[in-house]
Amino acid sequence: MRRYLASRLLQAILVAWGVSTVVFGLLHLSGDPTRLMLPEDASVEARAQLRHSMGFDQPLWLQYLQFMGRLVRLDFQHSYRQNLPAMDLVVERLPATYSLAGAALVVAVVLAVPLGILAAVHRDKWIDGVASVVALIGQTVPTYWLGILAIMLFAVKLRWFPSSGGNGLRGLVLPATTLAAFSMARIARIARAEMLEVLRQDYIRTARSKGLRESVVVYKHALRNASLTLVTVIGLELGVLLGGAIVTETVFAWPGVGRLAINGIYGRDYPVIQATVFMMAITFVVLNTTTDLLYAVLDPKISLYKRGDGGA
Amino acid sequence: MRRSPWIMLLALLLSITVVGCGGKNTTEPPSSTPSAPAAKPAAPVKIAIAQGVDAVTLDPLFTGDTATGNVQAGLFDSVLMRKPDGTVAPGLAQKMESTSPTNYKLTLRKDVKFHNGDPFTSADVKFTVETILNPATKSPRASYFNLIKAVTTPDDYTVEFTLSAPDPLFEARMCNLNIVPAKVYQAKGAAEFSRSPVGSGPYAFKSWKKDDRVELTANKNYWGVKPAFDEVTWRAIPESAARLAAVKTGEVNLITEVPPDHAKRMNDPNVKIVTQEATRVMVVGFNTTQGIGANLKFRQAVAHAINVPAIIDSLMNGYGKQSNTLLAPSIFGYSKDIKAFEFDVEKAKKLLAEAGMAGKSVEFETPTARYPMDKEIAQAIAGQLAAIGLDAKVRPLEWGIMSGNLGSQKSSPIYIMGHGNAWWDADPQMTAFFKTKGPLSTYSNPKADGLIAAGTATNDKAKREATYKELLQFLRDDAATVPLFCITDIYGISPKLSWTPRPDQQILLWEITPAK
Repeated sequence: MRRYLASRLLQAILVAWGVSTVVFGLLHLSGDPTRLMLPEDASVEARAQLRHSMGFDQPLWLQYLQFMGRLVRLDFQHSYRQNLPAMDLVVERLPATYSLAGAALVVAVVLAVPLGILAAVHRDKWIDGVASVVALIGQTVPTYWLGILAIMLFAVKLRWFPSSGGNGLRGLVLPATTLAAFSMARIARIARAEMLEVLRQDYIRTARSKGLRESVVVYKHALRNASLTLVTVIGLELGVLLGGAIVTETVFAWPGVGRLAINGIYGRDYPVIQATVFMMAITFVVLNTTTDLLYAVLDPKISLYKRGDGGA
Repeated sequence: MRRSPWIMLLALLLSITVVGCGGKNTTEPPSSTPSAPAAKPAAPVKIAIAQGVDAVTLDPLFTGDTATGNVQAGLFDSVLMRKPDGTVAPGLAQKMESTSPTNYKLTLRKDVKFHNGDPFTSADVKFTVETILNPATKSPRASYFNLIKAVTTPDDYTVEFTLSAPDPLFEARMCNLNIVPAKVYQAKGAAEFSRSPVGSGPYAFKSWKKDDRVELTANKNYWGVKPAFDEVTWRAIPESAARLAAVKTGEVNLITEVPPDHAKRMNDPNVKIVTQEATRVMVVGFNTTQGIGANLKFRQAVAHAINVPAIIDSLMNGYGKQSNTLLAPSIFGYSKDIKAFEFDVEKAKKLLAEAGMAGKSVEFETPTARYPMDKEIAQAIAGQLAAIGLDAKVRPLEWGIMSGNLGSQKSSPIYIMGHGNAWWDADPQMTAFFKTKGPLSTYSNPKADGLIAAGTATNDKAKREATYKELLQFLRDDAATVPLFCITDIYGISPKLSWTPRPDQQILLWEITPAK
C-alpha cells in the first residue's frame, strides 16, 4: 500500500510538472499579455515598461526556469488583473465548483442507476426504450442550450428557482441538474450494460433456482456485482464533471473555478491560469487515486463470486 | 462488513455538496421594489444591477475596465465629476485653477469624511497620485498621469500639480481620479484594501463574493446627493440570456448589454428598454503601413461599397445611426461638417479596378464577442464587398491576438473594430488609432502626426477644435478608416426605476432614482 501511494505521489508530481509546462508553452505562444493588462489606449512606452517589469522581455528559457523555481515553492505569483495571490483566488472558488460537480453527480447517480437497472431488467420493453431516448437526449443536447431552457422555464416562467448566481441550495438545483444531464446518460447506459452482463451469469441462475425473490436477485446479488465497474465509472465521471462545469458556471453565473479560468484566459492572466491548471491536475490525480483505492477495497468482497467465470 | 458502496459514495457526495454550498448569501433574491418617495421608511430600499463581468478589483489605483469602474464609482469620489452632457462639475475639488499651462491648483471640499470617519484632506490626493505613479505599484493607470511631475499640499485643503508639459486633458484626468484614504490604504496594504475598500463615496462596502456579487450600503453621512437606496448589489452574470431572465423575474433591476434582437422583441411588463449612443464608433480599418491597404483607391473602393444603413437595420435591429466621422458627437473635437462616404457600388467597382484588385481576395480580420455583432458585421461587409468583386476572407480572432496584430502593424489589409473613447476628448482616440506606431494604429502619415501633435500643444479650445476638424477631414480624404456607426448601448431596467444611460457607459448610482 505504501509503495502504491508513493508511486501515485510521484505520478502526481510528474503530472503537475507536465501540465504546467505545456500550459506555460501555450500561454507564451498566445501573444503579449500586456496587451490586455493595460487599457487599450495605453502608450507603447507604458507597455514596454510593464513588459520589462514583469520580465516578459527576457528569453523564454529564462522565464521558464524562473517559473519552475516558483512552482517548486508552490509560488504562483499574484494575479495580473486582480493583484491578489493567484492560488488564493483559485482556492476560494473551489468549494463552489466542487459542490456543483458533487451535486450534479448525486443527481446523475440517483436518476441514472435506477433507470439503467430497470432498462436491463425489462430489456426490450417500453421502459428500455424510454431509457435509451433519455440517454440519447442527455448525451446530445448541449449543456449551454439545456441551461438556457432550464432558466427560461423554471426561473422565468415558473419562478421555482433563481435564474443565476451562487445562492445557496436553491440556486444549485438548476445548474446541477443541467450539468448532470450528460453524465446521467452515460451512467445509465453503463448501468444497463453491466446489469445485463451480470444477469446472464450462472450464479444469477443459481440464485433464481434457489427460489429467491426477483428483487433480491437483482438488488442484492446482481447490482452488487455490477457496482464494481459502476462505482469506478462514477468516480471518474466526477472528474469529467469538474471539467464540464465551466460552461454551466458561465450560463448560471455560478462563482466557481471555471469562471475564474475563463476570465483568466481572456485576460491573459498567466498566474491565475497556471494556478487553476495546477489545482485541477492535482484534483484529477486525487480523484483517480481514490477511485483506484475504492476499487481495491471493493474487490476482495466481490471476488467471493469470482465474477465472470461462471461461479465456484 | 457488508456496507453497500452506494451508501458510502452517496454520503461522500452529499457531504461535498453541503460543505461547498456554505456561504453568507441570502437564499432569497434581493427585493426589487424601491419605495415611492412619499412612503414611510419601512423595508430597506434595495436595487441590484447586473453586468456581464465582475469587478476585477475594488482598488481604484488598479481600475482598468468600465464594469470595474462602475462598481468603484459608488464607493469612491473623484477629484472632479463628468456630467452626462460632458460638462465638468466639482467633485472632491470645489475649484480648479490653472496658474500656468503646466500648473494647476485645486481647492478641496472641507466637509468630506471617509466611510471609517477619517476626514478627507490634501494628503489623500497626494498619496493617491504618487502611489499610482510609483513604478513599484505597477498600476495600469500610471500612463494616464505621467505628465504630473510633482504634487504639493500647501495646506490640508489645497493641492498643487506641476506638469512636465502642457496637458489639455488634465481636467479630463481629474474626472477619472478616485481618491483613497492614505492612512487606511497604507495600513491595510493594496491586497487587503482591494478586498475591503474604504472610500468617501455615497455607498460603503459591505461584502464581495467574487464572480457573484458586490454588496454596498448607503453612506448616510455622504456630503453630496443623498443615496436614493439603502442597499445596492452589483451582480456578475456573463450570459445575456441569464441577465435578461434576472431582470424579468425582478432578481435584478438593471442589466447591461441587452442583445439588439432581444431588445426589439421585448414585451415583458417588468422590463423597460433604454438606449444611448455610446462614444465608441465601429469602423472598418485599413493597414496602410503595408500591402494593398496602402493603396488609396483600394481604401476608397471599400469605403463606397459599404451600405451602413442596411447593416444597422438588419444586424443591429435599427439600433444605431450612421456616423459621419470617426468621433462620436459627444466627443470634444467632433465636427458635423465631415461627410460620410456615400454608398455607391458602381463607383466602388471602378475604384477597385483602378487599384488592380477586381476579382482578387484579401484577408479581413474581426474580433469576436468584443463588440455587439462584431463578427456578423464583418460577414455582412464581406458580402457587400463581394458585390463589387472583392473576395474578403473573414478571419475571426480573439481580441488579445488581434490587438497584438494592430499594435505591431501586422493586421490584415482590412479589419473591423470599435474606436473607444473614455476621455470625452479627441486626442486619446486620435493618438491610439492614427498616430504612427500608436498603440492600436495601422495608419502612418506625417501630416496626421503633425495635426495630432498640434492638438495637444495648446490648451486653447477653439484652436484645438479647428485642428481636429482639419485632422478629421484629412483622414476622410485619405480614407484612413471607414466610420460605420456609434455603438448603441442597450440596457434593460425595471419600470420602477428612472435612469438615462450615459454615452461613456458609466453607471453612476446617483443618476438612478425611483420612478415617480
